[in-house]
Amino acid sequence: MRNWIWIVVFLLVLSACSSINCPLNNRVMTVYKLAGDVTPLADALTISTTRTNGTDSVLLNQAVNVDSFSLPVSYNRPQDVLYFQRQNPAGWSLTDTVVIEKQDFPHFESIDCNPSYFHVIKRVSHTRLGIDSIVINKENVNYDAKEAHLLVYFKNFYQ
Amino acid sequence: MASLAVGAQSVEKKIVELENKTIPFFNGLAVSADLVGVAQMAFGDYGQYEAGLRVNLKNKYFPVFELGYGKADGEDVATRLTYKTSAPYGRVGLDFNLMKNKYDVNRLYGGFRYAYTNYKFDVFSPGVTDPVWGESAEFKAQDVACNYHWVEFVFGVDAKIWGPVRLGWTARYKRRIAHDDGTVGNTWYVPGYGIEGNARLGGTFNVIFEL
Repeated sequence: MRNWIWIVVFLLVLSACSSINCPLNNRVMTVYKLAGDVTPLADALTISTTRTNGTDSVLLNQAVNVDSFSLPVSYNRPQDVLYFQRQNPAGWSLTDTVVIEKQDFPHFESIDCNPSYFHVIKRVSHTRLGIDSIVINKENVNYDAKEAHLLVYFKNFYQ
Repeated sequence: MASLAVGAQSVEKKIVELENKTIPFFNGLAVSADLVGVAQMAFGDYGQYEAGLRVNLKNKYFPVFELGYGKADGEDVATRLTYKTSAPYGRVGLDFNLMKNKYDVNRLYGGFRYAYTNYKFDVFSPGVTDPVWGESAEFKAQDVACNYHWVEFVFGVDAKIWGPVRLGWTARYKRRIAHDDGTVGNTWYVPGYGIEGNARLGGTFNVIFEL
């Protein structure tokens, strides 16, 4: 009988142990993939946005030969405004404004884990200087970044 | 000498068998209260008040009904998240007396439970700063409706202390069988189950009164 009591005490002590189960991949990013004729993009691509305090924040800085990239999503703005600048080695540059309308949903894992927001992309609109079109491929933006959310078709000026 | 010992053993075995046969089918009720959940509630962010009813059938089979009220009011200083929930839960199951001599006043149990709870939780953070855009976003979800079904495999002992009073331990291995975590991802404390994800093992320390 005494042995059984010690086994029970051991199990109860073991049950007092706990661990933190936060996901390892806890970044919520929108994945953009280039599609169409222009992939990869030979021009240098810079993407920026305007922060709440009015200053600019560069999200992608002069990336060359990109065929995909990931960008952050604002936590609870109804839309994100991004500036896509294509810069040719010859010196000219074209800047398109891309507006991503979305819905934001708080995502909770545990009180030990930092809170995050998931998003659903509702609509994408943009100017058409260097971008031909942007297509929503997967609307749910969460921890799963295996599949591209947006397909970007750049105009081909070099044919 | 050896034949004498064998004879004594067989007499003893027959006495035990005879005693087991004389135990009535319905042999009483016992109510219990768990002190582990109360201690968790007193010293931690969550816990539960729990009472049980145990039916004694021939000192061999013990149908068990457990009702409890689980509560959490937790805050993490690092993430600044608070989590609140409170809801009742219930378990139903069967214990078997594993002692060879069913007439023994002390008992060793093995058994199982099916458990269920339906609960709502609130989670709140005063402000999560957006690292890119720089604004503070309130993180809030209220009355998120969830439910949880799970089974528990139980191993326990209890011993007679004085008159109708007994004390006992149970150790429990829990397995979730179905759940709905609501609309905001996961839950943290599940009433009666414990912390979601890492609460596979649990236990109770029971004060038992035989009626």
